Amino acid sequence: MNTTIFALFSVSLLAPIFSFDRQYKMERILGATSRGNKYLLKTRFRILLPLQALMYIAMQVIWYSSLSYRYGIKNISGNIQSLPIFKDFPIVIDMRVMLILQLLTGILLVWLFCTFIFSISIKNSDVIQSLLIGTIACVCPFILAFVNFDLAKMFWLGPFLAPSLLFYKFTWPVILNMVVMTSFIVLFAHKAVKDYTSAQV
Amino acid sequence: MGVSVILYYKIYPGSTYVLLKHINLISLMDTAEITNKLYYVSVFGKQYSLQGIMLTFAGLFFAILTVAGMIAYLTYKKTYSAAMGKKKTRLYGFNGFTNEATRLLLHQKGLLIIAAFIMIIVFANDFTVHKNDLDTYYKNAVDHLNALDIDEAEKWIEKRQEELERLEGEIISLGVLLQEGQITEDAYQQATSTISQQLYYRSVVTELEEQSAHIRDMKESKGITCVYLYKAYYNALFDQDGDLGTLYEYYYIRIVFSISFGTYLFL
Repeated sequence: MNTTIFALFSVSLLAPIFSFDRQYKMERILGATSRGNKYLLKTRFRILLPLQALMYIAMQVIWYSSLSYRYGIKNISGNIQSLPIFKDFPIVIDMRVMLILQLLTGILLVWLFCTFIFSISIKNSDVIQSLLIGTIACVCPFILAFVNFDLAKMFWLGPFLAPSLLFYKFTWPVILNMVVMTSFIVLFAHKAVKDYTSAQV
Repeated sequence: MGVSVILYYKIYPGSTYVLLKHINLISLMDTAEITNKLYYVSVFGKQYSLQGIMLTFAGLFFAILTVAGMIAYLTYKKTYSAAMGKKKTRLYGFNGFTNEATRLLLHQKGLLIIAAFIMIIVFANDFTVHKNDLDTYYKNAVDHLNALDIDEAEKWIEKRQEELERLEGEIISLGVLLQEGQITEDAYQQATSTISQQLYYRSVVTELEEQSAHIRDMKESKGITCVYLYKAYYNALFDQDGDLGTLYEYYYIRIVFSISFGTYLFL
């Protein structure tokens, strides 16, 4: 549930940013400035990626608090192997460390997820188009996962917002999906950024 | 929103205007009220389920916002172009980073979106305290067992298992006595009811026994010291697949509301 809301709001926040400029031909003006589009791109990344990380942390903290509130448990010491689902986990670590590890992995994956939305925004020259493509590509899979469509949980962007999948359901199809998707996002973002920064004014 | 707050908190459940209490934004956000209570509302003398009414309202809200969004988009371009000629926007003379942050967070409503996101996440999560005898027994047992060493803990669980088996045996004996006519039906019912209350904790003892076997196995095969856990909490804490995939009936209301609110913000 939280992941679906997170995906929805990330798209609402990020998808219109670059396409708004392009829709109103602002990139021509911005490109003509002394620092150009490259500076603008870097600045936007510097503002929005930490914001997305904060949103993700807020989401997780609320989720943890709701669980603690619901079950009335605050102490989470003990080795992670105490949970049978983690019995084959290779490193012996405390549960709190595991939570932090999951959170950090989650932030990295969220950044990749956001880079994908950014790239969609850069590639589209219309806000509505950008929002629609963003919603179809980045929100619909989570809605499908939400209605228990298992493939959506394991493939495409599903594992990007559920890092725990990588820790205890780390199967070969999931690894392959992660490698393919990460490569795809990196290449797609690289191309989008290249087109954006090298655009003729 | 102010009117919604007043309507929601000031109209009492038996009022003629009870529908106004529930058909407003604040009511939609108070999902615990909708989901945790079986509640019927009287509309023109007929009783309707509150969940059904809220779902219909959320659906209508979403549809209206979608249409309003389309209309807003179609008229937006014109008004914006007209304003472009007159309005000169100067971004306070800050440096590039601050200017851009101001533009994204204030002018393009980024802060509003983030605030709405946090609010919706808070409402979408269940903060209701789950407290029943079984949970209390489970948590107390876990605390008790963690204070013991593994051999003592296993003995404690074994003792509980023996007690439960003895109680089950007593139920069988009572059945035999009833068949032989040595006790009345009422006495049988009363006795089995008392014993069944104690057998209620069987699931917890069985789960603790499984945990005990796991702890022993981890210690002997890998040399790792493990602890007893209240499993429901820890599974939920580490298994976010549950969050990704579990669909509770009442979550439909929440997701429809979230999408509606997202659309509203976009407008």
